[in-house]
Amino acid sequence: MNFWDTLVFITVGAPFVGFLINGLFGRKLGKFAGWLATLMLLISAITGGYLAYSTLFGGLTLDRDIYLWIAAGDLKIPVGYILDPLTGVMLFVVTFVSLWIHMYSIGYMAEDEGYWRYFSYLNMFVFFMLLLVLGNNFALTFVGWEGVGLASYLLIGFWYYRDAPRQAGMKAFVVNRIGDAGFLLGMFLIFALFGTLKYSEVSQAVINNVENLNFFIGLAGLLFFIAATGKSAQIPLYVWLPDAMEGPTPVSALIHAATMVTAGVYLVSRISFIYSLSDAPVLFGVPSSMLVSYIGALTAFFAATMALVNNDIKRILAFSTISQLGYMFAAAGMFSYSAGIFHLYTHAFFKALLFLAAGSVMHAMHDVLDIQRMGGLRKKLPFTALFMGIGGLALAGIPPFAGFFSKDEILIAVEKQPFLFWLLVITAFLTAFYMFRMFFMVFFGKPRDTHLYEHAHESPAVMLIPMGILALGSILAGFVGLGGEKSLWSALLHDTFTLPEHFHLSHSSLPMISGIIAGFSGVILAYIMYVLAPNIPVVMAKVFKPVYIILYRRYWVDEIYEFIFVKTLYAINKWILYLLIDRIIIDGTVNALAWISYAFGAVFRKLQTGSVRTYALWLVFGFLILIGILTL
Amino acid sequence: MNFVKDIYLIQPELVLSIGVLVSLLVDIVSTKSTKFLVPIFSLIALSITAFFVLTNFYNEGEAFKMLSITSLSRAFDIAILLGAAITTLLAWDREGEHHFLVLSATLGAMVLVKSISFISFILSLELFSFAVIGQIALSKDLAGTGAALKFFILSVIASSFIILGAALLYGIFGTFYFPKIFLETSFKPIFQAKPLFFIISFILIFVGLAFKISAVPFHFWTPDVFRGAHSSVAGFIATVSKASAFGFLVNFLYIIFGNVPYLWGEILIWLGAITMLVGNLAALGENDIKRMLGYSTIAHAGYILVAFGIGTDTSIGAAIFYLIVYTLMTLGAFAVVNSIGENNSSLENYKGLSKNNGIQAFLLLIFMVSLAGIPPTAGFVGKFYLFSEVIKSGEYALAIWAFLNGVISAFYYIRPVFYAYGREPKYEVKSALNPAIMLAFIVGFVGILYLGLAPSALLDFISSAFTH
Repeated sequence: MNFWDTLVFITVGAPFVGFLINGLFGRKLGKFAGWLATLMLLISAITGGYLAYSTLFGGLTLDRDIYLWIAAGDLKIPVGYILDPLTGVMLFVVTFVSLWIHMYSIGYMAEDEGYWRYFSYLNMFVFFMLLLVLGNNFALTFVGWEGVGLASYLLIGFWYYRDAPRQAGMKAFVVNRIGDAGFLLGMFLIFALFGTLKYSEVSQAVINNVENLNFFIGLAGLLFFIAATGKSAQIPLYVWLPDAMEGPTPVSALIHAATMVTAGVYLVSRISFIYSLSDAPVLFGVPSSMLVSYIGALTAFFAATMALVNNDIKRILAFSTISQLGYMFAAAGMFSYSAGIFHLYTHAFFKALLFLAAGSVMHAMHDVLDIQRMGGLRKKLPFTALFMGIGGLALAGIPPFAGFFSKDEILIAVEKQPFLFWLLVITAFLTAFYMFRMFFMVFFGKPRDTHLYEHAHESPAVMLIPMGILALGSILAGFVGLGGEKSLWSALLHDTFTLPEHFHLSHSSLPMISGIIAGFSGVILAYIMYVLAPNIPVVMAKVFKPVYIILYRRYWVDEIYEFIFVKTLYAINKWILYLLIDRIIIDGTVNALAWISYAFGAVFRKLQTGSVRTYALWLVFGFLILIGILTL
Repeated sequence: MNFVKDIYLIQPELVLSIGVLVSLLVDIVSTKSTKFLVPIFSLIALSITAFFVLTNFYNEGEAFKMLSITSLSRAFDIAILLGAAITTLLAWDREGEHHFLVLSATLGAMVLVKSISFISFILSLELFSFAVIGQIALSKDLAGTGAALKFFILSVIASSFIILGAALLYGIFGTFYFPKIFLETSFKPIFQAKPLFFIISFILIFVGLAFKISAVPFHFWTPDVFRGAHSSVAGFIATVSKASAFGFLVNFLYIIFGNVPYLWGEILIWLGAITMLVGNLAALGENDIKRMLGYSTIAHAGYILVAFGIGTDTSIGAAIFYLIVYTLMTLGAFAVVNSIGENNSSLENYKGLSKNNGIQAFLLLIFMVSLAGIPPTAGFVGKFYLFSEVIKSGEYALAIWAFLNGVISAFYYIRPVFYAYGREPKYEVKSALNPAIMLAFIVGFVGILYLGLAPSALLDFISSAFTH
């Protein structure tokens, strides 16, 4: 075991040890369980951070097999790790963000009776996530893939004595099985084509065989993308993520925003050689990379429209996650993997921050989620308001916050496709608007529910410190992308991804200008409608109109909103997305399959009469059938 | 000196025979307070036998023109002894006769997998069947007696099929000795032209074996018997009985009918494909965990049958590996059932298990996840290895079929886990957790994780049985 082996071992092993100790003895540890889990994460973050540093700045690339996991005939699957800039970025994001969310959870979950159970699941999750990003072959990544899924179902359904979380956990399980089927089939296809599952060997084989196996390689790309749509909540498998908000809020921050859902983006980037090199049409007459881009951009747009009409603070953020993941796929599908990973990295900071801030608001408001019952909270929760503002500005892509740089890179990547480009620019505007609609409704204006408002209080330091650190990250993380193609970020991820021949990016300033305009106009419009407009009627009332006109005119603002956004977009959402995709296609297929399976199962069980005579008759019947088959 | 050499070859079987006899003595002399000595003796006898199996693993040869001892058959012995040992742990509190019957059945199973003569084949088969019927009937309640009777009648019918088939073959070839039949068929082109009596004799014996394996449509007894029998007995039938039938299938297919693979290749694959589907679909809505596990064993038999149908060395190796993994996880699941209580097998009793019976709930999770073939458990490695054999043989449609079956199966395996972790307890379940069950848990848990994380050692060992 050399130096790097040891470091990798500690990075992956520490959360596992935490999981074991908390899982076995957590009940006896009491409050210590949370600190223990956080300590394990700290160890993991230090070694993981050093590994990330070495790969990004020290030029370290390693592909090492520790031992042979499965070896039988020509099937050889090692347990081994890969260290390159891509893994480095992921290691840093996973360990660093998780560390602060662990710490925050100590305060957030303090009152919960399943305190130790929660932390053991959280450690287990980090363990599997690290396995996923470090594994040097498909099979090992799949182990992590399934593992994070398992941890996620356990955490979504954490409050299992309530009905909704249980249903949500089950839904996540069912939808993800479809994605997993894609992963396994893709893996078997790769194995059948090339006889190996190691990324390095598959990459070489793809380069050598792309001419005669173009279609099959593209098909594998499609299958892995299906897997990615499951885990990363893209159309049509996004439906589980909004429901996953039924879990504790730090879980939403960690799993359903910052880390697990990025696994799909990671997978697509890891196998960039498939998407970059295979240009055979696989579905709808387009190559798999194009599908990735279009599905991503469409998801980004539709999820943003869904966030516009929602009043649940966590669901708004959930739709925003789906939308931002769509951005990453849009870039990855245009071969700008580094832009996708860049957005993954900045998004991890500000989305985790937003969720933690939302958790802090919920904490203060006694678990009320409806933003229509909040208002004026900036006086009661000054730090939370500040942090959520920072996270919101980063999400809206306002310079110089982190999201601006990465969103800019993505817009540059898709500029050659006008449809994708303008769709994503519009989405950027919608993003800024829904984010600040929420922000202003929660923190500005007058309290709408005075009783709740009176009892609101700022969160303890153990929750504020992590938010502060993530806020700092949301401000600073983007600067590595300063300078476009000559930026530090581009230099760090240079040569990490396989790119198609003649790949180059445009140098026009259109993406940056349109991105900035979209972001600012969204924020300003939200400000006018939710901060200025409610006051205009008040001023006018003083001058010449009775009170009911105030009410009327106030309502009028809502009416416009209702008409423009709620009615039309809601109709689109409801009829096209919800009814067609969610209800008819997904639920329909799942239900039909389930119904058919259960019906057949019931028939088979009906044959189980319990009568020995029937069984004996079946024996003879089977005998006759076999005779018939073999003699005819 | 042939006699000495033959005796030398069958040391493990001789050791076990002595164990069978002595266990009866131990049972007679033990009083109520020393009753625990019987299972302990039983475990010792099984361990010594296993020791002899491992030390004689590479000694091959024929004994008495009845048994063919090969490394391959010894690999099946390992699965059989493992299953017998774990079921002994599950039956710790049962009557002393039970342990005597387990040892007798194990002896029958070990002889069965090595039989190359109809005499040893039918004798060992009957020894096995009667010992199992006795085990079931030891549950003196109505369900147990009913299950025993059902199993008895159907076994008799299956045996009569086998004996009729054997008689037909004797009529054709005038010998009980399989290798002689192999020689006869290889020189006569008539056997390539599908002679009717030859086909009928094949099917007659095959039906009898398919009954043991619980392939569709010979599977009906399985859920009923599992429901009525004690969980240790159900586990014994699910694992040891299957391992021995599959072990004998090797001799049956490759020696008696080795020259006429057209007879069985396709049939086995089709039967396997249908069997896994019926098992998985029937298990979906099942609300009794014992019956559910009954359907689950049917489904798993389907996967293994497919590997036999492909019939390469590596696919048989994959089948043996799968059989060992299957033994561990199925018996692990039965250990949980045993601990929760024989009469609490309705899934209603598994609601909220994690609250008061955390250990059982956690192990249920592990065993069910493994049965569903989700990594990092051994169940995943076993399925992965088996399916990749299917892919290697070029049967892509079959691989996808088997894979989809695996997806379906996840739903019914995860249901008890969701009940255990995601529901409020409905009934107060008083679970038993004696040291024997704990040991069974540990063996299953460690085995599944070990074979999931480091399967190479066992895989190498199994493939050495083909290549040494």
